[in-house]
Parts: sequence; structure tokens; C-alpha cells
Amino acid sequence: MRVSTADFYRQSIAAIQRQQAQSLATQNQLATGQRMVSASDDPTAAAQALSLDQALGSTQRYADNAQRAGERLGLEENALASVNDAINSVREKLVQAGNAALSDADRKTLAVDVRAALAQIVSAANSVDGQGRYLFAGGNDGAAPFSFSAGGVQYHGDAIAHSMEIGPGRQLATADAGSAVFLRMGSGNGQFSVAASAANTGTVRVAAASLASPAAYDAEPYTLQFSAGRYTVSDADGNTVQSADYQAGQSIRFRGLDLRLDGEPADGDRITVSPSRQQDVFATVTQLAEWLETPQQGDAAKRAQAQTAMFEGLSALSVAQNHILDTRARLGGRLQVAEAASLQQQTRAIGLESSLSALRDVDYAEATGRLSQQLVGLQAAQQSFLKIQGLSLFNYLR
Amino acid sequence: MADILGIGTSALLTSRTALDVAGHNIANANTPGYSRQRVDLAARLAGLSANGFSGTGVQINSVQRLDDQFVFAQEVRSTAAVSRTATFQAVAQRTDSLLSDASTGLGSVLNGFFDSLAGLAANPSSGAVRQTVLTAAESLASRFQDLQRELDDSEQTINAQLRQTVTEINGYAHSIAQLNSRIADALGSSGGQPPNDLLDQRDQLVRALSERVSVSTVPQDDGALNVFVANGQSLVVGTQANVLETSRNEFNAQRLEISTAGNGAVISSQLGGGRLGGLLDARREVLDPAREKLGRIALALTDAVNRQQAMGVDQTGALGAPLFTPVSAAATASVRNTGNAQLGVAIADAGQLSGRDYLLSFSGSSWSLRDARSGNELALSGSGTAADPFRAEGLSIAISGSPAAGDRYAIQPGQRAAGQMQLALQSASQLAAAAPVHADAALANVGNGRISGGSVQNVDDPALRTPASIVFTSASSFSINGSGSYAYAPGSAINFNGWSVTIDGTPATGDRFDIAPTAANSGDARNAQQLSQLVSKAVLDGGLNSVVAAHAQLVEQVGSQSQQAGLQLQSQTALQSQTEQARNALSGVNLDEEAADLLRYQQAYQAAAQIIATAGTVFDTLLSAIRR
Repeated sequence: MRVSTADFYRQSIAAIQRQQAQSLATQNQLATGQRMVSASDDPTAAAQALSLDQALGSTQRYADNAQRAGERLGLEENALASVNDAINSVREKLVQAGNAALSDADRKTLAVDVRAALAQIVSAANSVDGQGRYLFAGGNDGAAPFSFSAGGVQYHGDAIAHSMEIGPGRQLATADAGSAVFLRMGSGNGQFSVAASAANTGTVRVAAASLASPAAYDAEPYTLQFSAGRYTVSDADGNTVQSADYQAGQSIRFRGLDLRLDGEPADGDRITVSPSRQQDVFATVTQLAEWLETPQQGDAAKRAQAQTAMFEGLSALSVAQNHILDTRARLGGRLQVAEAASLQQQTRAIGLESSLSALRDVDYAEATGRLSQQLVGLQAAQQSFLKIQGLSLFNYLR
Repeated sequence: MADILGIGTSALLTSRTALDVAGHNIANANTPGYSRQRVDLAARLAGLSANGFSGTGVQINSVQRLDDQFVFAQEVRSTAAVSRTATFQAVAQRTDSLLSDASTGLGSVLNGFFDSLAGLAANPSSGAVRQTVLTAAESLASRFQDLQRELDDSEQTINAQLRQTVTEINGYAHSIAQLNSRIADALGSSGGQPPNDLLDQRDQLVRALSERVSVSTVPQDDGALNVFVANGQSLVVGTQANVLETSRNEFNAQRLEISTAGNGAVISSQLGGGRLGGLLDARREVLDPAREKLGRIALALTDAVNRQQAMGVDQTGALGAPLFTPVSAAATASVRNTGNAQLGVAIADAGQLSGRDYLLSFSGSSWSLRDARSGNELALSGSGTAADPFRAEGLSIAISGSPAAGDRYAIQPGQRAAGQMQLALQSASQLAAAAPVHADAALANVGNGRISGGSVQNVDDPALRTPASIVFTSASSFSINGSGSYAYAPGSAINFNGWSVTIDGTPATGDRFDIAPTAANSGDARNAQQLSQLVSKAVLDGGLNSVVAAHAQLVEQVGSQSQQAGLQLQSQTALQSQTEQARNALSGVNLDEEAADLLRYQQAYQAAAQIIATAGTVFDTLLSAIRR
């Protein structure tokens, strides 16, 4: 084939330029560390990288959320631990108060301690997260959820449960509403309450009360009335359920309930049993404090009433404490979930990062090899061009 | 004697001419478009003598240029193709860089926006977090605006290039027409000898022309070359040039079209190839779809975010105001319309937008909507009044004023939308992170019925935030606000006043559940969670794609257009290079060859001079013989 002189130059230069462009592109990749300068270098990979970017972003967000959730749950755990301590301290005081040698003044001192424990519980229930938002207020967390007033402690929060997304479509509750933690508990032992009538003149008191057969208990109120050494159990409508001789310290069983009474009842003394109702932990503690403040020195009947009330209060405290412990156990579970989620998202992020890197980052070994190959090609093109263009017939025309 | 002298002279002159031609070739070795020339030698007719025919020397029939019209036609075609693809690729690459570069593209700010929403969902009460959302939304809106501006600028650049290219095409057309006239003259005056250098010049002009627009050529008998563009639209006929001009688009004064100067007919859609074709193709296939898709993402995002924002309450306790200014769709009337009807086009459902452009026309009695590209008619429902607008493809179109028959309107839902995106919220406290209502079980409840938090079904219900209570009148029925008796089915939705709750478990008689409006300064994040989940919610293309997926598609689409154009350019350049090689193999000057020719004709010249010398010697011999 004929090769025209201009064509020879043009083609040689074009070849050199092509080689230069390729080595420049490789050099650019090496300098930036990126395989793709724009999406046109690999449109599919670019689109994939965009969605991976997004996935990576959300993974990091989930990990952050899980960590924040863990912090919040930790704060809640601290607050509940403090409540638990306070309840323990109340129990201690009650045990002390059981000592018959104490005077009214001594009991008043104990009452002061109990009220201090109550303040500690309220303070824990009003604790805030790092940003001044109340932990146990539900959605209404801009204001303290619990306040004292004449009628007892008021709840101003709501039941909205805070949650954070710690994985795709996976919400983790990061706080419990105060109503669920402190308010929704049963009075008495959680199934029923016992109370001694304030008009009692004898020394009968409740020493133990339990549900022997839950299936037989119908959650109706009952009254035990004493008369001439006998007790009569009647239901709300006045029908007699059971009647027998009273013997101190002996179990009285009816409708699945098992009561053990102590002391000597006077005729007309009454003990009532009623189904458990909602009673918050604050009210329980307040009532105990009030009983401690009630004078009973030299008044055996009052003392017996107080003992029944203490028994009832202690049962309610146990219920509350168990409830708090349950809540803490759930919290612990959620803390573990948060930690596991955080770890899982971090692992996922590493996987995503390596996929992204495979899509976007340059393989240095390959690129360096390619560059040397391209440079050799460029050099060869330049040298051969110089050699060939030096050959011309005109050199010999002299 | 006279014969040998004559033969010698003819050889001498012929060799001189051949040397001239070789010299001319050498001189033009680097002239673009030059075809090497060759003397066409022939023996002169022999004279009849008694001894038979004896030669009378050499003559030059003509000086021919070496060219091949087929290769030339191929060159014209491949030049137009390469130039078109190179222009197209330049636009595609610019758009691609714009969209895929982290500092100019949408990706980083889009992720930033959704990140900030996720932050809001995790921490709805923090003022700093709320401010971050506003800042991210602001960056997102201004990035949309920037992208629209860049794409609009690209269109303006294309307009300027179109104008310049048309001027150049017209210049070439005039020059070709002039050359046609000179070539015809030269052919006439030389008795049919080819005016080689004029022909080369004209071919070169046609090549330059084909770089601007794809042309076809038809030679005429008188040597003139007729040039046609766009399916037979004549550009040069003989010595007459029919120029092109740019005109404004019927619907869009910012857009230039190509039309013929004579009758003003728009021929943009028929033009192809060359820079002009590349510009028009890039505008239609890269810029318009990119702008449309970007606009549709803006529309869907604005719509979805504003809708969700309206479903929640902000820190002041008010229902959420729009985060972004609502975006409207663009409808423009044709300049040829004679009626005065006005179109109000609103986006009824951003998820149903198809990405097409539409043409709405009035026949005199009825309106019809067509796909602007395919011309297919689309179904319209509604009557077109403000109260009952036409509805089609996610749009609602209300017509006011009186149209005339034949009036036409272009509706391009997404074309301008990205540029209209704007942050509307003034204060970070107006972000509606909380749900408007919450449901609680009353503290005194005896049963273990649980109620869900409460979600919003219809935010427009005026009683939405009126407190309500559900009281169980028995274990299996309940009343709402003290009236009605509804059967209780655990876990099934209870819808009232625009909200929806579910109760399960076993509530006891007398148990109460309260639905109350969310108060100001709530720490509730239920609506913020919904907002944050928009990241993966399929709000585009009839529920197929999320905003993020649509954006990835846009980047991929433009990226692969740019990549395709790049690959096409490579193969077309290779093809063009082959064609050029084929041309140069025939028409290009090889200096070595010309050097050899110089030697050859120099020697021929020397030999011819020897013939004359011999003739002289012979003559001298004769003369001296006579003198004796």
C-alpha cells in the first residue's frame, strides 16, 4: 500500500498522542487513587457506588443510633438503680419500725428517712438525658413528668415510647414512659389488698396473705368480721362465704385466698380483702410514711392497724420493686440488642466499604504495571517515529 | 531532421511539465485536501511514411488529480459521523461530570439531607439537630437550583454553537456555490481539462461542511456539485446557495431551532450528523432527559417531604408547614396560538409522572393530550375546569380563557422543576417531628388492653386533634366519645376523626383509652421517623423507585450515554482514519515517490536534450558533407 508522507506523520503523531492520553489517564488514576473520574468511566459501577454510598451512610447512622440508644438506656438504668436503692432503704426503715420498743418520736425520725427516699424516687423518675429532656416523660419530655401535689404525685407525661432505628425497619425502644414504670402497678401483693378497719378495737392484724389457688380467686371484695371468737367471711352482697372459729396464727382459706391473722380480735373488728387496683409507687411510699407518723404509743388497736398497713405496704413495695427489676431486665436486654446492633452495623460498614473500594478505588499494582507498559509503548512509538522520519530519498539527492 | 528535432522538443517540454507537476506535488505535500497530480502522457500520432508509421514524439493529454469519488463520499460520511459524536460526547461528558462529581452532583447533598432527617428521628428535641436539617435542606434545594442552572447554561451554550455553526454552514454553502461557478467556467474555457486545484478546494469545503452537518452531494454535468442536507433539503444547487437560519422554538423562546431561510420551515428534527446534528441530538437525548429526571426527582421529593411534614406537628404544636416551596409544572403556549386560553398545570401525584413531555391541543370543540415525542394520544379525564380539571399521568390541568381551534400548548412537567426548589421553612422549630395525636390507656384501667400510638389517616380532618376517648362498655364492645357501640376485634384498626389506632389484649369493662393531640415541645419522633424513611420509600415512577434510586439511575443514564458516545467516537474515529488512509493511499503525496519522479524526469529531460543535440550533430554532419 502507498503511504503518503503527510499520512505517515499524521498517523505517527496520532499514535503517540493516543499513548500519551492513555498514560495520562493511568497517571490520573494513580494520583487520585480513584478508578472512576466520572460516571462515564463505568456507569453501572457508578450507580452501584451511589447506592452503596447511601447504604454505608445509613449503616453508619444505624451504628450511631445504636450507640446513642445504648447511652440513653444506660441513663435509664442508672435512674432505675437509684429507685431500687431508695425502695431498699424504705424496706430497711420499715423493718426497723417493726421494733415494738420504738417510740412515736423514733418512728417519726424513720418517717423522715422514708420521705427522703420518696424524694429520691421522684428525683430519679424526673431524671433527664444529656440534653435536658426528661427520660420518663414519653413524648411530653420538655417538662418534668412527676410533681407533688395535694392528691399525691401527678404524671404529666404521656405513653409515647421513644425509639430509634438501629437497623433497616428495626426500632429499638430507648425509653419507657413513666406511667408504665412507676404508675401501673397493683396495690397489695399485686392480686389483692388487705386492710384493717380503722374502727377495730382488738389487736387482730394480718401476718401473711397469699393467693393459694389463683384459679379459684374471682377478684371480688370480701370482708372478715369477728364475733365471739368466730370469724365470718362475707362477699360484697353480704352473703356468708365461710364461717369458723378464729385461732391466732392459723390459715384462713376461702376462694383461693390464704390469710394468716395474728392477735386477738374484738367483736365487730373487720379485715377487708379487695382486688388489687392501680397504685403508684409514690402513693405506696407516701402511705407508709403517713403510717409511721401516726401516733400509736400505748394504743394496741392502732398499732395492730398500723402493722396490717405496713404488711400491705411492704407487699406493694415488693410488687413495685419486682416491676422495676423487670423493667431493668428488659432494659438490659435492649442494651445488649443495642450493642449487638452497633457491632453488626460496624461489621456491615466494613463490608460495604470494601465493596465500595473495589468499585471506586484503583488497584495500584495493576495501574502501576499498566503505566510502565504504556510508557514503554509511548517510548517505542517516539523512537520508531524518529528513526523512520529520518529516512528520505532527498537525503541522497545532492 | 525536423522530425527528430520535433520529437526531442516534445520530450523536452513534456519532461519539463512532468517536473513541474512533481514539483507542485512536493510543494503541496502538506496541503490539506490536496490530491497528487499526474501527467497523462501519450505517444503522438505516428506519421505515415514509405517505411510505414514512425513515431512523432510524446504529448501530454492532461494533468489529472488522483482521486476516488467513492472514497470521497465515505470521507464526507465519516467526517459527519465523527464530528456529530465528538460534539455529542462533549455535551454528555460535561453533563456526566456535573452530575457525578461529588462537589457538583446531587449524591452527597441528598445523602446529607436524609442523614439529617435520620438525626432528627433519633433526637427530635435538639435545636442543633433541627438546624442541621434546615441547613441540609437548604443545601439540597440550592444544589438542585445549581444543577438546573448548569443544564440551562449548557442549553444556552448549545444555542450559541448552533448560531455559529449555521453561520459557518452558510459561509461554506456560498463558497461552494462560487467554486461551482468557477469550475464550470474553467471546464468550458479549457475544453474539458479538469481544474484540479479548484476541485480539491471544493472537495475540501464539502469536507469542512460535513464536519458541521451531514450532507449528500450530487455532481452535475457542467462540473457543479449540488449539496443537500436533511433528507433532500438543498443547500447548494449549481451556483445558488440556499442558506439556513436559526429561529426560536414555537413553545420556548430560550431554545433555538434550525429552519430554512426561504420559507422558515423548521428542519431541526430532520438534520443529523456533523456538529449541528451532535448539538441537536445532545440537547434532545442528554440535556432534556437529564433536566426532566432531575426535575421529577425535585418534584417527588418536595411532594413527599411536604406531605409527610403536613402529617406531623412541630415544636409549637402546630401542624407541619411545607419544608420546600411547592413546585409547579411548566406549560407554555405556542406563539402561533390565536386564542387567549391560559393553562394552570399542577402536579396531582408526583409518583404518577411518567417523564414524558406532552402537547395539549384544541380542535375547536375538544382538547386532546399527546405524547410530544411519539404523538400517541393519551386519555384525559375531567372536564378541564378549575373545579374539575383534566387529569392524566399525574397532572391536573385547568383551562381558563377561550381557546381557538388549532391552539397548542407544551407541558413539560419536570423541565424547570429543579430550579424552583426552595426551602420554605423559616425556623427549625417548624420541623414536624411529632405525630399529631397520641393514644394512651387510662391509668385506672383494669384489663390488659394495649393501644398503639396512633397514626394519621387524614390530616385534613378538622376534628383530628380534638381529644377523644374510647371506653369499653363490655369486654367485646366499646363506644367512642360516649356514643355508638362498636364490636371489639383485637388488633384491628379503629378509625375516627382522621386518626387510626389499634387496641389488642383483653380490655375490661369500663377501661378507657384516650386519644389526645400532641402538645408543643414534644419529644415524639414518630413523624420524623416517617420523614427519615422517605429515603427508601418508592415515591417515583408509580411506586417503583425511591428518590435515591432515581438519582442513581440519572447518573447511570448520563454516564452510560457519555461512555457510549466515547466508545462510538473511538470506533468512528478508527473508521475515519481508515477512510483517510484509503484516500491518502491514492491521493496523498509521497515525497520519496516524488523524489524518484524528479530523478526520472530529470533524466528524461537530459535524454531529450541529447535527442536535440543528436539532431544538431546529424544536421551538422549533413551540412559539412554538402560543404565539401
